[in-house]
Amino acid sequence: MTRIFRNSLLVTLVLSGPLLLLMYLALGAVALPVAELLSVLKYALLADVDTARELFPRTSAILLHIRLPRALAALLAGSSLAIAGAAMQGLFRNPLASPDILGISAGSSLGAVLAITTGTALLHPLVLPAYAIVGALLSAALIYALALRSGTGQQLLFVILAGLALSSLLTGATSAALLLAEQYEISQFIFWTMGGLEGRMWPHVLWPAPFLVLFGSLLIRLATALDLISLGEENAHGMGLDVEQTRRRTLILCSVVTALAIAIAGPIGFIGLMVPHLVRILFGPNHRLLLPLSACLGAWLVLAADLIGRILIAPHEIKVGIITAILGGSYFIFLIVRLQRQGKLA
Amino acid sequence: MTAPRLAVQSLSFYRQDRALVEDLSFALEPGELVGIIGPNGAGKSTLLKLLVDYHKPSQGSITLSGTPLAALGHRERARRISYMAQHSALALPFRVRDIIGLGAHSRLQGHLPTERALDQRVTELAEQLELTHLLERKLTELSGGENQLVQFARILMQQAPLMLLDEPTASLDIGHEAQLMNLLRRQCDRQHTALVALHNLNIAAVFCDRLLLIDKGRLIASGTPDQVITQANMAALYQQQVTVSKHPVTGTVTVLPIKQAPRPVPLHIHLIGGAGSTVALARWLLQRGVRVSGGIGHEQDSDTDFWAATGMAHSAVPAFAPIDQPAIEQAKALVESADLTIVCDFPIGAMNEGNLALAHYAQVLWLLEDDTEAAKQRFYSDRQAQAFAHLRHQGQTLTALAAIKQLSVRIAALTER
Repeated sequence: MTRIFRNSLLVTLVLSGPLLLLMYLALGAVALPVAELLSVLKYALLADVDTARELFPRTSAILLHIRLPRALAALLAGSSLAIAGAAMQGLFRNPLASPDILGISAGSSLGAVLAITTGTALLHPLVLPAYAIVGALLSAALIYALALRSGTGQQLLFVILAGLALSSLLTGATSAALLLAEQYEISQFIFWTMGGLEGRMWPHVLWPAPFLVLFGSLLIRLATALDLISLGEENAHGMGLDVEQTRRRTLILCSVVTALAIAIAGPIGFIGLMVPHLVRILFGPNHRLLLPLSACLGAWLVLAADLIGRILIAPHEIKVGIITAILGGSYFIFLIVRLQRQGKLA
Repeated sequence: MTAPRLAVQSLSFYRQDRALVEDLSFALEPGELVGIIGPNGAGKSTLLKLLVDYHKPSQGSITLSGTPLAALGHRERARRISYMAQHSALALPFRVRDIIGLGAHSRLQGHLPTERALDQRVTELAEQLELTHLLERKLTELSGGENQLVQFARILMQQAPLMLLDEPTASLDIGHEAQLMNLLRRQCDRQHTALVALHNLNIAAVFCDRLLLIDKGRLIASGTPDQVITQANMAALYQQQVTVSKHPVTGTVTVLPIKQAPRPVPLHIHLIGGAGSTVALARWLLQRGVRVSGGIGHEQDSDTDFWAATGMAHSAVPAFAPIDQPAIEQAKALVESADLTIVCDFPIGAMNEGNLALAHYAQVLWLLEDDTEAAKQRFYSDRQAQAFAHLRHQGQTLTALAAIKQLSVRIAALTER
């Protein structure tokens, strides 16, 4: 692929984001006029929400209370899951690793569900995400311990197998916890197993946002370390990397970021797996580019998926997790066919 | 005196009560290219991982120019030691150029070389290693050998004074193997030090200044290739499956595998001869698993060289010295214990006539004589001819061909039992 093509693709990708966001805000069960929408946004940015409310009461209400927080939730969840996936794949040197497959998502879902079923989630808005983070960290610790136990040659295979097993186990536990809970609702069940963005309000989004930005940036700072580790841990050590520290930091950051994303939008599947993979094909595996671009593309992708879900059978909605699962599944089938044609696994 | 670049004192490493490295001590000086050899599982890789602080030693000390290894931070260590692991992960499709550039990681902080300077250096290195055509390719598309050369380029990029390499030539063809070792040699000529685990003993013998021979985590021998790669050492480690000799062109010790290991035949044959007369027969017998001894020879004679190189029991006197009574007394035991002693067809003069006296001690004696006409010229004086004639009464005279035939029958009979 030529450098010019790659660079223009990069620019297109980054610039298409704002356009997509505008579409997301404008389209839906109720279409909003773009001119009004832009005016409201302008007033909101000038911290003059009252004027906007007066001038465009309907647009302001829908935009400021429903679509904007929901869009932000989509962006945050998408970028977090994608960046965590990219970092995990780098750490385990395997393009199939991701928070989903390694059980971190399932762990944090179970944590969140336990917070709900025990009723502790009602005590404070931070209790549920705290449970989610603890669940994610526990799963990560388990995977980490397993990765250290097995010999170097088969480490990756064991990690993936263990992750799959742990993932099923925790998903099962989540379902059971939900079934036994008194507050059991089918929508809750779907939210904590599949992810969704409906009804995401400012309180859901605002408090995790700074943490996500912070931890996301910390992950991006690990880019060079992840480049080194992709040559194998022994070689990375030889080049002066503290492998143990990198492993620990990456796993902890990935777990926390994943957990926060799940606290916002539930475990939206396939983003962490599909997005870094796609970015790697387009722009190479260099983590300094891969991590930020994955964050970008992950955000756009979840936004687009939710947009599709909202307008396809409006006024009904299809959950974003369903759309991403369909997209992700199709992508992987396409990938398998492509690899078979090339006769290799890239 | 300054401290050596690398000093290892009583180094041991245990895992689950099993000693992987035990009580190793050695030192490396600037400019040295030192090979670690030994059979599979001897502890070569483990030793290198200890030296790069990837494993922590159970006992003993490792110092770099006087500084304890454990006291160095990761980056500081990487500026002093580079390490090429036996395996490198290949799962992600990095560009070769980027991989080689990563080698400079430890030097990047502080006075940062510019991106351009780094790229320049990578290009230069690639030219040296003839890798230029691979620079824009992906690592995942390379063959095992190409990948190994790329990893080596990455090590050179690190510019550390001490280089540890674990089987760097394992999947290289012989041309690239020589290329890599020559480059390493050149690095050492610039006062770098390299410690290389090698399984190709011939490569080790040609390129290394010194060798460390390791088995079961212990240092068995160390010294020049000639001192370490001996028939006795190799036979002990590789179950008599190899033969050591000096290469006639390069003059380095050469190890070759033996086609089908002979089962030892309970037969001891002593060969007396000189001027190369015993070589063919000795080789023939050794290949069939017969225990062969030789003597008395003269040092630097081709027979004596062969006996020494193959690890045969033998006795010899200095070059140009006569075989005197003390030498005969010393060699007597070999002849007396041999089931059969064969005097080969060789010219006999004042310097080696003692061999005829030695032959008297034989239990069973064969005298090889191929051409009766030429035989008259075998002796420099009548004295030796008479002594030989006297031996004819004691032993049996036969041609080499007849001897081989008889020996074949005898060895076959012994092998079947």
